Amino acid sequence: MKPLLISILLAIFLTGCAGVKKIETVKVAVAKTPLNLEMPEPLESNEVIWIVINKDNYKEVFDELTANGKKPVLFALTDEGYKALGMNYADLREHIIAQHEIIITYKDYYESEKE
Amino acid sequence: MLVALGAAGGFAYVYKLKADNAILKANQVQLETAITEQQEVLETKELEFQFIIEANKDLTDKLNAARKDNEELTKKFAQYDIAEWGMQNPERTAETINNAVADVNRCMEIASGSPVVEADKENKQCRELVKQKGKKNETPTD
Repeated sequence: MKPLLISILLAIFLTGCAGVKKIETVKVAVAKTPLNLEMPEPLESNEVIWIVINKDNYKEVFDELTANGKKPVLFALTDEGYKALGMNYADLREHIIAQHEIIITYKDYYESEKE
Repeated sequence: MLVALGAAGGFAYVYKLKADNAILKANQVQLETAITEQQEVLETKELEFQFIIEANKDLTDKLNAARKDNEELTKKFAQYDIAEWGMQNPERTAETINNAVADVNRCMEIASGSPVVEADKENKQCRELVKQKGKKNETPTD
């Protein structure tokens, strides 16, 4: 009788060991503080005046420079040099456009209010 | 005695089952909440993915437009012999170059974020850029 009683009691107590545990979930979501850097002001170009000189008009051009109080000196380019400068300028423009658009897209993506 | 113990045991067992049941219900709620949250995360990720695709397409369009303007300039340089122009009529050539350079400078300003104005539509040095940036400035009429 006694062993039976002990067995029953043991069985009851042991059921407590096989209990169901409550699930605990942990949430960690900390967003970075937006950088919110101001975009730089657009460029404001300075005026550039090109003077075209050739073997026939150079004297006239230098005389005009002197008459206007300017030193008779010019910083020259050949037609090829002028084209190269033009292409470099165009490449720079393309690069500025790309950088500008990438910054705006990043800003929209990471600092958008819709987020 | 045995009956009383049995009853006590039974009572303890039922009590424990009830407690387990309560925990299981709470777990169920937790899991359902987790599923809903996961669903929301998936939806957010889907939106982010769409944004990335659109942003990439938009950026590609803008870069293609900038390249088109550059190609236009390359074509112009190949088409015209500016050295010959300069030999024949240096004043007229200087005037043409100065007008073009003023337009090119304006293109740089637009590229760096200056808003497109009506006069920019006459700018032949970066037609695509003006078109692209001009679209942004347009305000919808209704």
